[in-house]
Amino acid sequence: MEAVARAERFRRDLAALTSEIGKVIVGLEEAVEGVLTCLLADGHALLEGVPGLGKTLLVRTLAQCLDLEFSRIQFTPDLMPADIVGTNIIVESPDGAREFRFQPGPVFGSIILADEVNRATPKTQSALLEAMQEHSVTVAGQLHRLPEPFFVLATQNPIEMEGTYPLPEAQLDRFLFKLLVGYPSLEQLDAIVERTTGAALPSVSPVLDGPRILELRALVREVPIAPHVREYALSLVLATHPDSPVCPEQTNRFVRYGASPRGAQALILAGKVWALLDGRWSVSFEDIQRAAPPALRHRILLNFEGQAEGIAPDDVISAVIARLSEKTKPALEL
Amino acid sequence: MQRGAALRMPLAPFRRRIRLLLAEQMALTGGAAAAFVCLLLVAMSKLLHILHADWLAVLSILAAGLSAGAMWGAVRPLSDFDIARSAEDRMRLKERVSSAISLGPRCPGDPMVEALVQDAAEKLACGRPSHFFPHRLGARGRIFVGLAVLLAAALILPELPFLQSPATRRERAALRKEGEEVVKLAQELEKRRLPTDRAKIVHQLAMNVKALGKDMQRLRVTRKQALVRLHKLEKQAQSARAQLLSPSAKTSLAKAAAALQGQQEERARQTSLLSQLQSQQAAAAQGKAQPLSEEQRRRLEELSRSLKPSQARQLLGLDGDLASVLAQLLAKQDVQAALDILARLAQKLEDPGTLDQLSPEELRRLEEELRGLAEALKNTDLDELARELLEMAKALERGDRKLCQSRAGRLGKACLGLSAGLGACNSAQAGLSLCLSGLSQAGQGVGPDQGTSRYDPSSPHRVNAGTPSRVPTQHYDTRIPGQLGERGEAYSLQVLGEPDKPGQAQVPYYQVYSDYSKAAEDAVNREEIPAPYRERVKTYFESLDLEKQ
Repeated sequence: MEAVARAERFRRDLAALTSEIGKVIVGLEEAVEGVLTCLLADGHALLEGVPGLGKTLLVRTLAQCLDLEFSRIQFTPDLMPADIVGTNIIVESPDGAREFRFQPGPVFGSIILADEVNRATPKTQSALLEAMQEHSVTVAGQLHRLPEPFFVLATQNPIEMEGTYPLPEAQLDRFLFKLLVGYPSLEQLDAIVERTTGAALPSVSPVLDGPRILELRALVREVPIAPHVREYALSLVLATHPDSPVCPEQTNRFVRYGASPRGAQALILAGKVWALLDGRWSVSFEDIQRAAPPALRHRILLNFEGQAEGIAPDDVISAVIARLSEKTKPALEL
Repeated sequence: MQRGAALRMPLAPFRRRIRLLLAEQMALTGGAAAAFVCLLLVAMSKLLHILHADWLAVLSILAAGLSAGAMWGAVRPLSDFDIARSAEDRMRLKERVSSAISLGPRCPGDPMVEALVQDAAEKLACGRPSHFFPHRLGARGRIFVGLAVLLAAALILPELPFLQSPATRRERAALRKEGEEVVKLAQELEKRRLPTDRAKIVHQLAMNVKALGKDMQRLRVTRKQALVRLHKLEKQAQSARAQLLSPSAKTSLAKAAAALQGQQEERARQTSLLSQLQSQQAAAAQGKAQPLSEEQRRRLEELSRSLKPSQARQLLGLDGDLASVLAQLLAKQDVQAALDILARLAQKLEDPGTLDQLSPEELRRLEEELRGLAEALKNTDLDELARELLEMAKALERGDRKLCQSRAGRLGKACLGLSAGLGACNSAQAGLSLCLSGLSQAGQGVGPDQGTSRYDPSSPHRVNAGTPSRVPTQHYDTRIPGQLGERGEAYSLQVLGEPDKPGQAQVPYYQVYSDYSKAAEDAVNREEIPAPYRERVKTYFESLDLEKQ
């Protein structure tokens, strides 16, 4: 059973990676799991949290655990698109001839940390659009492929809104997950302080390399999903749209636009990753339900009433899940 | 195929278990529905008195509901997918089995799907169906139990004597008691041996009477319903009586009695004339009177020859002539006694020795008497007997004594059968009337446990009829102006309907009589007239029928 062996290796590798990250990162289990899920599902992750919670550290640690090229881009208001994707510069050859040569930007890495991505202007933010979706950039009419695997991890601060530019919907939609990084508990804080204030700082070593990650990604896509589970995922996405026949009342009241088809893809891919991690060969309803908040929260656009009422997209997602709970129950009532 | 088998094997015990539980659940659902229906029936029975719901009916409905539910649960089609969904839900297998069922046939050769199917089969094989699907009462079961308890309470509580009002207790006691009487009456009717053709009518009556009696004993009917049914049975007894008699009677028995009486009066007049002529002849022989004229002598001889004592009277040892006796009995509507006399006559004439002892002259007189009786009873309720009497007379006229004896036998049987049938009907009618009276009084506070004597038709003055019920009709009150009474009370007179305007009647009485008669009869049948007065009311309206008189 080759499949069984591959799945075993998948779980082993992931366990090793998680364990390695855990040497540095305390707590943030959900964020770590979410980031790894995005990595394995060939998606990108947006980390949102107040400063100092370890978002950047998490990404850096992940980069250290993976034998991949890491780039960090600090987004600032004066950052230009060319600063990200690169630009053509004039170089003089030894024979004195001058030519334009493409100088790759920091986006040409495997793991990209887009730190405080909302501080750059929309023009600069959108420099990442093509890179994130197509894994390539076009400069001066020339297409440049990005290395594989290509994985963008963006962070943003939700409270400092002065001088920030909220990400456009098209940009948000390209993130597989939006992960909320919360405050650590007392025990976690204690562990953080102990680890970071001692003489010896924890260090990690690479666990996985690029080809292995691509293998893992391929395995994830082989995981089957039953029609009734897929239908449930699609219903979940449709129910985030106002006036949909399956949507709950909250959707109709508070939502302006629902999740895009990328939301359904995100649900299913994340479900496949979690199925493999759980030792299963198919996606379950629970996988889809678990993936719904991180996969859909940044894809749901609230209307004015929703914003005025202080409704969070997660509230709408919970209502949608509750509304569709009948679909997850067996037909026979015993 | 192998994949299907790999899953079907471990799924089979789950299928059996789920089928069993489904049958249980469906049975409970059916039972709950049946209990709800029973509750409605009981409510309708107790509050509206529309239907009767006793234990047997309730248990039957409950059993039917439970069986129907269990049957549906047992035969309801179950797909592998449904079984898989239920099993994985209970075993927390996270859609492993249902995914394997759905994907197995669709992705042949896919190693991941093969691993999925194998994993699902292994997980299923590890589970014990009875562990994951235990017998539970569940919401349906609790609803069923709750409704059943409610139903039992609705059936039992009203039966507890200490929860009933004294009036209800009295009424129920009276119903039970009268029910026993009615059942006894039915048993008596059943015991009567009647000829086959008449037995059917009486048997049907007895069956109906018995059914009512049992219903009353088991309190399946309310007092009001019992009264209505008793009244209907009374009518049925009357109808049975009419059926026993000739159904196509054109002449009433009263007319027959009048005819017989007429014959007797004519005979008495002739007897008187004979006696007068004989006295005159004796006086003439002594010279005290003028001798008889030729016409008188001829008349005397004729009367002396024809006026002989009634042969039947001699045979039966009656106080008067047979026709005279029968006329009196029929005039009193005592058909039973008349039938007894005719049966005795038939018995005498059936005896070969009786006719042999009679002289030709006596036989001729007997023949004339029988013919006269047949003529009088022809086309009456006793038309059947009249035919036999006529045949007997004809046989005597022909001198065929054997035929006469044979016809006498048939007359005797007809008399006995008719008598027995009428007796049964009369007995039934009287008994039902008695029960009706008893039950009426019980409802008016003169029940059996109050020590009041039962209704005796022969002494109507002892009956406490109670307050007559108000007859629903259109009316208006007319206040009569006058002085106030001594204590200041005012008098008013209630006038039913509008009085006729003075003047000549536009429609003759005999034309409107039939309408009034029908309306009155309907009213008598429809309204609850106190039993002791019913006969009087009926007699009154019958007395208005000029044609019958």
